[in-house]
Amino acid sequence: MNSIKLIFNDLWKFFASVKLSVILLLSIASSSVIGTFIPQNKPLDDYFHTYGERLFTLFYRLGFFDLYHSRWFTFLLILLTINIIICSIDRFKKNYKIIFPKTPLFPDSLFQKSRAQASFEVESPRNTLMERYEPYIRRRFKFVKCLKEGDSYRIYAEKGRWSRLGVYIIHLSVLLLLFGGLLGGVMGFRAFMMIPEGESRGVAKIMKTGEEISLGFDIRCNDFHVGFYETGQPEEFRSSLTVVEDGKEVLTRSIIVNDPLRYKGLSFYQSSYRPDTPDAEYFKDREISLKFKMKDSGFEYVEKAKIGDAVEAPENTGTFILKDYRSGFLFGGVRDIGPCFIADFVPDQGEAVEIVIPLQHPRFDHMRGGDFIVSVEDFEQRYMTGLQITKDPGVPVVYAGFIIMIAGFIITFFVFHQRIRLDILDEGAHRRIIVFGLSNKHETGMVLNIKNLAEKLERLDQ
Amino acid sequence: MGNEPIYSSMVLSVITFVYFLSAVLYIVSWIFKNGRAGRIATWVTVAAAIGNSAGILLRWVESYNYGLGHAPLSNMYESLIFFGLVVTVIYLFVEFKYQSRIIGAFVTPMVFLIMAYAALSPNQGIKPLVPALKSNWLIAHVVTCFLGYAGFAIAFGVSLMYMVKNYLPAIAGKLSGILPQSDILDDLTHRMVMFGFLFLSIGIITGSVWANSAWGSYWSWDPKETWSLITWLIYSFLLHARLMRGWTGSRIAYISIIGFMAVLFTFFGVNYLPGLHSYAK
Ligand code: HEM
Repeated sequence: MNSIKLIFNDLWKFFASVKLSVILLLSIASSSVIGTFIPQNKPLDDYFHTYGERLFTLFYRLGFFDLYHSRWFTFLLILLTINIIICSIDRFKKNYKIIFPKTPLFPDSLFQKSRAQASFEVESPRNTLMERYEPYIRRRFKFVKCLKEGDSYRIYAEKGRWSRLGVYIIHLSVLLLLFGGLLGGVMGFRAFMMIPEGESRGVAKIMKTGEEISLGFDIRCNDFHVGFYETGQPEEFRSSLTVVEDGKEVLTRSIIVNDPLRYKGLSFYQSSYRPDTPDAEYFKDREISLKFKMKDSGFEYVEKAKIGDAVEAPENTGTFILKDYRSGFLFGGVRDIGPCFIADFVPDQGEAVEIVIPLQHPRFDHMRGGDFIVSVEDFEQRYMTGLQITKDPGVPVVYAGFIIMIAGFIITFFVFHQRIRLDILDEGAHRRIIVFGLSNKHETGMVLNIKNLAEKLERLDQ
Repeated sequence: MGNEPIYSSMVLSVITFVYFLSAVLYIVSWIFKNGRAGRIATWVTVAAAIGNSAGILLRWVESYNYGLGHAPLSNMYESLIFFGLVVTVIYLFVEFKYQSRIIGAFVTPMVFLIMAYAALSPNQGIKPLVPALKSNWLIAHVVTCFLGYAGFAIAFGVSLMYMVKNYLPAIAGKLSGILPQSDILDDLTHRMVMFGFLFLSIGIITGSVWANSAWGSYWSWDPKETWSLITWLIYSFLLHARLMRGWTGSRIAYISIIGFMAVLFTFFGVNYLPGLHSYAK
């Protein structure tokens, strides 16, 4: 029983030490440096290439390729967490009496030793001085205590005692950040999905594992738009999205890069886009612009047609029938030339021919050696929008940590616990006033404050 | 590209020389104990700060004239110019508070170097913003980070003075009368570190919030983020060593100097780290 208590005490002392925390802060800092010199989470092949076999093996064992999630880094963070908790409890226990006393404490021996002291002499009697100084000090301090005991005329005052709590607020905020990070790591994920315009998807791919997950509802991409500056740099990516749940449209909203859609704990971020390769369904009833370049005259004509339409070919050469669309075409039975339109051309004189018009090779029809070269001029290009989906239940915790961390800094850095003692002493014909100051930090500032206070009090007398 | 900010660049080059002048004046006033040079130095520095602000505003206006309208905080050049201004303004405040111009002899040369370095950077044209940078969080992020860096920069200058005073007895013998007392330097270092730490923290926080709003991840351990965390940990170490273990003087000055090296690395060095694709082939 006793030995358990001893071990507990030892452990407590170990974790309550600021020496440990200083060591931990430095260890975490220096380990983090390693992770910035070795790029993280790359394919293992790359590492093998860069570092050679021996270093690779060593680094791999040490977890350097995913350092910030390695066991030993996590271990350091856990030690830091315990350190902060124990240390704060330990200090809080010791400071509790100062922060929440029944009546504020004014330790005379500390006042006597303080560097912050100032004194001056005045003529008035002690009672008058007491009455003059008390209201002045009351206006500037939260708590004031006047003493008139026999020969001792004294005023004690203090303010800012609660600012001593600021440190605990800061340390709590660090704990919230660590905890929020953990929560996100354990319960959250990042995934990705691509949706063609006009279509819905309900499944996304987890980035780390490649595993597919079902969202529990569908996202439809109504429209994707990319805008450009005059320089050709992209100015904005915008997707209009609709959440469809159980066949019902729940919510429609546009997202841009800095403005995600949030639904049921998931956030959808505009992340990338690419032109879609359409299917035959897509071109049903959709107009396509075709360009005809005439061999003899060199003129170019643009004709619009839908699949199934027959149009007059330019310069009365014949009838052109847009027959079909195929998402892939093997040219000569071997080479895939990608998506194509297939057309029939019935010349005014001669045999009908089949023409293949690939979307990606506008000069393809050259080879046929006909009266004209036909190519796809334009059609309504369909895009796919790339969405990143994140779930991170730790975010609210982390944000709460952010807010109280800033509050804690402001309290600890700009407010401090100030205590003063003012002695009114008889010295022959006149009175000597001595002002002492005591603060939990900023000694230099306190010296100045006391000097100012003494000057102001002296002036009250004139 | 035709988006050259002609007028603001002109103003800012002139201001760089004004900073040089103020640095010379502060040093003259310090070495030769010349009060007049010191007073002129202060006014020259005030003028430089006003000109610097005007240059930044003018650049902002010019970006609107080119139809790109965004705050001039989007690249290395713009942020350095802003950094120079912030350091100067904080320094002037310290000078006013402490009624001492000696620190100016250490800080204004630094500002001059920052401005001169900015003038050397290749990309000074006003570029359109890529979509991810269009966020008010980004502006809050850049402004607060640079307030933080500025606090650390001044702490660094003061720590250097402390080192000169305490470790170069040959010079210090001659200069000791004209350097401020050690405990004032020590106190000022501490205050500037607190100021810097507060704003670096807010800077990291606003950066996180921005990243979360743009990419859905508030922290991704990329080298720049990680280095700002390293910097933060070093200064956190300084604060604990000082408050809890009672470190003062040269030990604190050392940490403050190391901390500022980390600041510089966060800002410049990170670009030279093995990046995403440097060994891809
Ligand atoms: C990265 C995490 C941490 C941060 C940001 C942090 C921040 C701070 C700050 C700013 C102060 C100064 C407060 C003041 O001005 O009075 C402080 C004080 C302190 N810190 Fe930390 N701290 C961290 C971790 C720790 C850890 C791990 C310990 C564990 C031993 C610790 C123990 C203390 C103690 C004992 C004090 C003094 C409290 C007092 O005045 O009673 N800190 N901390």
